[in-house]
Amino acid sequence: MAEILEIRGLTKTFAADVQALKEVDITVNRGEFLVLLGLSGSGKSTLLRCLNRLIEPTSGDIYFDQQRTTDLQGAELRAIRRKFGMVYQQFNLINNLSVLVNVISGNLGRMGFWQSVFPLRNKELVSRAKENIARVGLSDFTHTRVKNLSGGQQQRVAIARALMQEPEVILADEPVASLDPATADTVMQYLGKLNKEDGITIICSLHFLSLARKYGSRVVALKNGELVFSGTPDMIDETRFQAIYGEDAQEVEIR
Amino acid sequence: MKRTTSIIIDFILSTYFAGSLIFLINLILVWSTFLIPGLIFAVAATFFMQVFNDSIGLRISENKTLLKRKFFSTISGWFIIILLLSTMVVGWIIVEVNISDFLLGINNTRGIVSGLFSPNLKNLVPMLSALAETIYLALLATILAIPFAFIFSFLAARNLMPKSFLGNLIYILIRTLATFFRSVEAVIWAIIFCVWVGIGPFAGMLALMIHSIAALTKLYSEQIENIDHGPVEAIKGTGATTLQIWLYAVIPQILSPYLAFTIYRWDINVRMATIVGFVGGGGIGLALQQEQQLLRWHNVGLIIWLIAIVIWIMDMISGKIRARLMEM
Repeated sequence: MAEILEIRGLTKTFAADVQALKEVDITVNRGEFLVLLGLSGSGKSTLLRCLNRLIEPTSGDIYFDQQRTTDLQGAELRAIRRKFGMVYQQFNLINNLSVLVNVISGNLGRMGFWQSVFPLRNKELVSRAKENIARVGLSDFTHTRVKNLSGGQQQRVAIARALMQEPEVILADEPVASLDPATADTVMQYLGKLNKEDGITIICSLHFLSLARKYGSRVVALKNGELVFSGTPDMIDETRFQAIYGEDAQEVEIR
Repeated sequence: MKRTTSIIIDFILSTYFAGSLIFLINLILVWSTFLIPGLIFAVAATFFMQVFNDSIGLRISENKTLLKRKFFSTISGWFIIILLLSTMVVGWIIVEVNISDFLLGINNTRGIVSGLFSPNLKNLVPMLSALAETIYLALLATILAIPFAFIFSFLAARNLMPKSFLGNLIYILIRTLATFFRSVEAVIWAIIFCVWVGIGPFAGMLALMIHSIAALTKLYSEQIENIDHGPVEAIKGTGATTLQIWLYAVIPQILSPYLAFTIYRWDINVRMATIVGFVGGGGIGLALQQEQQLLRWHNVGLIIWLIAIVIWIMDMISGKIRARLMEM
């Protein structure tokens, strides 16, 4: 498998000497479903945001398809961001707008300013957005305002928005952490489908090992900003689990 | 550092207290300067409180509450009481409070009161047209202020401006200008514009517009600073430009509070328009000033009724609309 992302010596220090990431090295292969594990505050969110440069790394390099992305600026930076769709724990949709407009906003990286003022006039754009809404099973809600949807539905809108970018990678930052277990599994199924059917590489941080086992093709774990594990999901036994989550941790099964 | 701050605060308070004392002494004695003894007193008082580690300055600089327990057994507690008392006494004398004037002078208001109870309805038509002038000038001032305030608010929002030197400069410049233009009262702007474009509603409109731009810029930009940052991050992540981020992630979040603020501003502008009219800004305020100068109390009564009714109606309408907007 060809590698799509190479992360070398990635370090992020926030003000006041808080080291969120320490010399992290990860290689991501094209088409992988990579699960990021680790406690809250272990650096998962920072790592994901460094990849599309929503956070500027302090040092280290990131290569996307052999292209170094860490110093890109302006239009080149935006072009790289387009290739990473992102899904957030809090969905981060625009609550006052319809599902359709929210999904269209995923395409902003390819639109000029005037086009983005009147997005609904572009027939081709609207029909592509509707296709993506259909893919997440929300066709009945195309013109509904996002704030009237349930959490699970909102996260599916967010997935459709990410799809609108025609991304090569989807970064998912604890996408199911604010959903109930059943809804969480549905949302994960959609991500799994995109991974299998469209071959989109997925990097997803998760809290539950059960979901990691079910969907992940590979797992990496962070602890206090350092990489502490890399391997397949079934390699995580009791000892490794405690190495990631601490001595006293016990796995809880949520079904 | 905290010590220095507290010494400065204590010294200022002590000087103020010494000044109050000197003022009171001078009422009895002949007017003479007590500058040197006053300063010596202030320095001594500061020194005393600092030595005992119990002063208002220390409490402020250490971010502690001023109203702690055992308030009456601390030096700072007693100093607060003494400061309040001396301020009340000095204030009472400076303001020339006179209870007997207040009680016995009520007879003089007979003209105004009778005017209020029998307004001159024959003048209703010309006064209504003056009132329309006021409402229109307030409306125009509000509408013309919107585009300026809208653009400025983005530049005066800390979370949107880049953290570069230029970004900070623009932010500070616009914030300072807005604060300055807002702290100069609309009446003073009206006086300036009456000289500039001549007495009349246009001057009043300009005065209200300047004041509205400054006030709305502040309200709008605070609204932007309170938006949910999540959508901004998400739209940025799609590869959007700054303008597109504003268009998609910021504007939809601020539109209804902006409208609510604007309607509230129109409400305020109608009230202010009457005051601005008083100094030459046209409308019903100008009419009120003229009638009052001529002591035509029945016309004054009519005008006061008209203003009260309009403000009451405006208040009701704008309250209803704002409640509706906030639900959205």
